[in-house]
Amino acid sequence: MANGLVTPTMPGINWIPIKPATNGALYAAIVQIMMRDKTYNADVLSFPQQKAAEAAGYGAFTNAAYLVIVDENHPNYRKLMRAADAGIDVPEEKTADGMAVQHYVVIDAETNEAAAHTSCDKAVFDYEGEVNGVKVRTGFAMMRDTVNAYTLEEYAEITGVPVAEIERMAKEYTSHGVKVSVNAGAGSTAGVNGFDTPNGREVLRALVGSNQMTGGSFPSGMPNVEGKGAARYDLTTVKGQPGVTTKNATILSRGGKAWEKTDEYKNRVAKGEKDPKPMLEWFTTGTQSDSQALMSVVNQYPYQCKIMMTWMCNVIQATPGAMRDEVVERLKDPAVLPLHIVCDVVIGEMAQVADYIVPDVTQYESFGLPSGGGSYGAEVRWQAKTPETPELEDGSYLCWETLLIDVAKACGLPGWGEDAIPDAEGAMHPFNNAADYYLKAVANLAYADTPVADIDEAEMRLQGLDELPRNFKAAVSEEEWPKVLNVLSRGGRAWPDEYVRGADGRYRFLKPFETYIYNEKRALMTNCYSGKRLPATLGYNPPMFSDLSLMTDHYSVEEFPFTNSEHKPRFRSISMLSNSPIMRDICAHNYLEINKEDAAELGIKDGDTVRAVTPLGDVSEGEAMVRGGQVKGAFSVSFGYGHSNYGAQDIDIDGQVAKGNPAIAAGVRTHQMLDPLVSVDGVLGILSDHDASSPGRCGSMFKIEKA
Amino acid sequence: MVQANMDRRTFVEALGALGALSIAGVGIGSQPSVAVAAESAFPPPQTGKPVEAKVDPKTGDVSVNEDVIVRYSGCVGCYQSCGNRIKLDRATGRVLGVGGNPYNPSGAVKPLPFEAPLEEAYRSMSYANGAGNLTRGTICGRGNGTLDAVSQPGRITTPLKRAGKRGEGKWKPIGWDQLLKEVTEGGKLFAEIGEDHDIEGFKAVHDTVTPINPEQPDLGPKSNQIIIWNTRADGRRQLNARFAQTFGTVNNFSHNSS
Repeated sequence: MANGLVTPTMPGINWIPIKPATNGALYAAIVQIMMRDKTYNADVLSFPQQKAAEAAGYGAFTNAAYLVIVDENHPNYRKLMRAADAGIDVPEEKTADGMAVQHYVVIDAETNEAAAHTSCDKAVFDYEGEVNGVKVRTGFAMMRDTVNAYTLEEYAEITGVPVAEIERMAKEYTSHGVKVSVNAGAGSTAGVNGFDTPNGREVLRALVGSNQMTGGSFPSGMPNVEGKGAARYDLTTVKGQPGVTTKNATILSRGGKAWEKTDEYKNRVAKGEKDPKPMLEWFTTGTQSDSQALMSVVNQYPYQCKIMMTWMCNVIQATPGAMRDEVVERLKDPAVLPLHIVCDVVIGEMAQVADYIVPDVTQYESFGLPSGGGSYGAEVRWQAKTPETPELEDGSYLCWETLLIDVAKACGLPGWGEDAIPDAEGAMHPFNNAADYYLKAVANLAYADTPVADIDEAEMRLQGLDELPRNFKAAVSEEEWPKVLNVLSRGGRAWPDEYVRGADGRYRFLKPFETYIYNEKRALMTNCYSGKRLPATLGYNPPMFSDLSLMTDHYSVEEFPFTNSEHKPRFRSISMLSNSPIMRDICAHNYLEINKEDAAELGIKDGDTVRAVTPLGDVSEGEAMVRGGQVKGAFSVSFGYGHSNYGAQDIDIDGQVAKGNPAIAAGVRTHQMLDPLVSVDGVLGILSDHDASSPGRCGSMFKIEKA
Repeated sequence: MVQANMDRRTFVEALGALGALSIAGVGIGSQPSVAVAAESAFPPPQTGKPVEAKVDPKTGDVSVNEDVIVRYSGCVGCYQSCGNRIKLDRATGRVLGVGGNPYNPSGAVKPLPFEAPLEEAYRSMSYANGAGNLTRGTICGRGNGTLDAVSQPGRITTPLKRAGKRGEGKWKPIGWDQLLKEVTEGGKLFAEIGEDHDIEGFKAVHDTVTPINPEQPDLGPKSNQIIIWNTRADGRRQLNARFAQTFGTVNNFSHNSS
């Protein structure tokens, strides 16, 4: 909520400021109240499987009733109890993708006996006892401990949200059945305890059973336009792939693998090292993180990146703390990074440190079928305008896709060039230009469910669709072409609401939807530096450094009383559009946004130049905006300002210099501190979310002073 | 596969990148045609750009200005995936303006059904639609700001190779065939500016067998030493996954964390 996109000017919206990186505390406080008042949906929590939930008219289930082994001497301590642990015989079954079906253990509500969750429709979700001589508790019962780790008064102190307001939220949230939801994502998850935000969101949704329900947490979705089984073409299956996966290769961002499972750890132990520690943090549950990968590149750990391909992004600026001289200097060094190719429309912070720049097309000149939007269907973005980049003799234009296609063909990769894309009947089609790919996706959209009509001839002429480049028509069949044009003429295809909303109030295309009340993966994860664990149920985890020690154990809250957040800018697009005169006219720069009371105490007036300084001496300097709505004890910065490149710099092409425009560099970016525990002896490591491996953008420590 | 006149073209476009307005020239705009101005029942357009159609507010009759093409597409001012409406000059192909797509539920409260004729879409922009602003497609300020991406002075429209130390800001335009050959074959790519070390190109790194480090086979093969990254959820990054999987790297990153 510190980073939210909801505006207080919307009718019925109350803006309640919250301290950054305390979303977990607010969610835990609300759940504490729900458990106190028993205002959760007890029916929903008793369903141990999707089948049972659906039979009762709901759309989702939880693992609230699954038993957890809490006997410290048991070999499976902290794990969810499996049928074998309970001495229950179950059939051996495999899932569709070949994994063994897991049979968890619950207490059946009818018999009060232990049973496999797969053979139980209603289970006891609040339970503590013994099964087969093993001490167990349900995940729900365990969550009671973690959400009660603080009193409501303490949560109010932590979050900056008054107790009465938390009580009001909890009452309101539980007063509308399934027709409520919680939204949180994006920036609010990019904090040092970022995982707590989506975790709390999911738990709150699950406790009232709002998933896949009309009025609640309703999915949007789109038809299959690319994958196997799409109506006309399969754009994802490629035969003859080399099979390099996370099973036999390590992702550069050090995720998805426990430190003690790495070959490096094993080798160092074999060489006699006791309890070796990695140069940078490993994230057992983190899947991928461009920010961590960037830090891996500059530290050449766990291995060197030889070729970096950067497409229209600004990983340096988007990684808090990374846009500093020490990091940029290493990216400039060919010994650290031998080859860097950037594809973009401007020379931004990444292109500035490139060896080669490939011109890209803009949104008026490119194709794409993004997911998202508010309804079922897909928007189609297409080459509606002739690109400004050079045209090649085969009719394609220089852009990111052309780079990928031509490099892939030069390397002889499967799935590119001739015989690359199978249609629904298995016949193969070429992939030599962007149209070959995207217009086949448009054909899939045109034929999804009920095929659209052919385009009206007059409408085709009206939009000049009879004069499109030759590659377009060649990308699909004669039969498909007029239907593809019809979809292009509308910029996509959206289905009416009734298509996805069943008369019974549920999503018409229900999919199994499970929420973890007890997160077994987190329960088993240990920190690579301290061996500490984070709790497996919802709670508040204060900001921590890489070994899970509290930031406040290292630095004084009295000296550095402020924390921080960043939010999406209204007048930029993430790190982009600062080169847009239209956007700069509306808002020339951003601000350090400070609470009125805080400003009064510090003697800061609106418009003063102020500095936010970290314990490590990083300085963010900008113009103060003293305002209501900003929580006390934290400052906030609109993200994407404070460029050093992107047109702010001089550009010399063949000796002709285009002078940089300082207006593009206007504003301030947060100079976040590095993680002081790993950033020693030349290592550069960022503040991190210890679960998702996301960067710690929000929730650091600062003092604020007048410049 | 490169055009014969590539080198000359490359040079001209490099000049464009140096500060002259690129030819898309949204800021310039074209003057309204005489026909439109004379026949229009509405005040002359304030922006100096032709209107795409006029609608009789009483009868709802639509008459389209055939000098202007209106195409419906998608906006990437952010990642909400709203639709947009692109106005093009039929004669030159220039972008005249951008607005909302009345067929797209993200831009219209009561979106037009897919089957509604284009005439209805023109009418939805007028006072004659009877629905006020509910059906009118709109995009926000950022969506309008995307116009500047096409026409910005600093836009790169030709391949560039660095002509100084990395990060120094010195570039030279090169042809596509040269860029492709250099990045795939590798070699002493910057010998001409005094850097005589060898650089491995894509072909050399494309080794899906030899481990990065024989002591640590879990790091994966050499092909895993390339990174592809982007932050855009604009429907183009699926090809990054295809490239990564077929090249043999797990290092395909998206916007997830930054």
